[in-house]
Amino acid sequence: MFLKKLYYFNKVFCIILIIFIAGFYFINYKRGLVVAPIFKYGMYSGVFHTSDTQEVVHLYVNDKKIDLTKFNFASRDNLLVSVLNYKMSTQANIDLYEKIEPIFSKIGLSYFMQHDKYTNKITDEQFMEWYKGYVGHIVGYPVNKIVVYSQLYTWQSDVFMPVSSQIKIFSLGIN
Amino acid sequence: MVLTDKHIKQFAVFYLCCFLIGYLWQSWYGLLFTSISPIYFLNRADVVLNLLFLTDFQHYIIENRWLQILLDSIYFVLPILLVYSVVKSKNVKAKLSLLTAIFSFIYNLFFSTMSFVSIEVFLPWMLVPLIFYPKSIRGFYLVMHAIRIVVIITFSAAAIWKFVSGAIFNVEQMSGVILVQHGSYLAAGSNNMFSKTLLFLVKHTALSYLLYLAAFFIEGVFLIGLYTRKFDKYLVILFCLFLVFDYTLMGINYFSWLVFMGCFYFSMHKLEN
Repeated sequence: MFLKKLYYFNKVFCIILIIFIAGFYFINYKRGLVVAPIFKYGMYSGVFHTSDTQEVVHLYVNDKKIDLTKFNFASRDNLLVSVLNYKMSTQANIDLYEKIEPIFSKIGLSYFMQHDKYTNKITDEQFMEWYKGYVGHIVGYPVNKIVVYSQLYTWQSDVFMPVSSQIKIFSLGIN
Repeated sequence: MVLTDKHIKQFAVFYLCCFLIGYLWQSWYGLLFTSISPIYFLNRADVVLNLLFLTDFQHYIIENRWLQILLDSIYFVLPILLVYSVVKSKNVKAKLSLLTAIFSFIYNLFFSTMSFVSIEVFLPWMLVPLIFYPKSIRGFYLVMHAIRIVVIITFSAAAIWKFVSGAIFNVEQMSGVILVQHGSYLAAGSNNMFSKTLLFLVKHTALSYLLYLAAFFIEGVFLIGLYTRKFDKYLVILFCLFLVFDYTLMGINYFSWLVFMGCFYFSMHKLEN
């Protein structure tokens, strides 16, 4: 048996492997916190329907809508996910701090657990200044004005159509 | 075929090639600390990451340009040094393998909080260096097989979850997944080939469901690797197919995982005694 061979070769390594396997199934079963390098591998294992509403992002640069289909996967994700992650980070970082804090307190680490460490120190304006440069690098021309909209879409009658109006989530360079 | 020192060196070179291609890809698309110049991070529900956050290293990275350059440089150099030490049979290789694994682990935990790339993509760079830690061929064999088992349970977990959640019984599943994954792209209303293909698949749910079933099958069939190594070469082929479709259809780049296939390719070699 492989584990027996591994045990006689290196007991520590064998124990680490057993803990990894047990930990992997436990963490994937519980679907809560992970313990790196043990992660969750769902790979779209949630149930999805075409009738679900999707949040779609529209990006306007210098008053012109960016055609996302002109970019490859990586650039597209760079353009969209960086803004969505930032939008999410404010609340998500606070929520996670509140979730982790009781756990760390139990193991005596609450002294080191300061709120500042777990939150971003930038303002929305600073983010948009950074994002302007970031977008400019990807689209390849100077960016003076950016507006990011969010809109809900769904699949109806064989068409992917909007079901809400556009909501402005960020803007920069507007007089 | 008997496992020899030559195979260890071949695996090391394969690892380095995969790493360098991945690093080049990341540099090209601006996915290094230096090119992103991050100004914020997004926390994850990870105990180890949050332990690392206690050091406040995340803010040091954000505030210090020189640190970003240093981290990217070390991340680039360590695998090269490791593979050099393996190929030249230097004694330092054990220490370098540990150092590379630990550094890659910490680097990628922080990097994934400041970019759009999921942490799971970086798993190979944390684990594969450990294969070169043992000094003996027997040690290499055992650690390589241990990592092979980790890959099997990790990859097949996705199939188990598709079954448990009931996603695999949902005929609309893949059409729904395409809309989630490519919503912003499809909303652009382009008429190009890729958009047409996506819309065709969303519309023809049964056809797209077959693709989802195929992915489920590939993920699940890896479980056979826990019982026998006889089919490892077929698993390598199936895995490569999975990577290609994951990239071309879903736009998800999991090519870093290709390096794990070294464990399945070299598994056909046996120990001398």
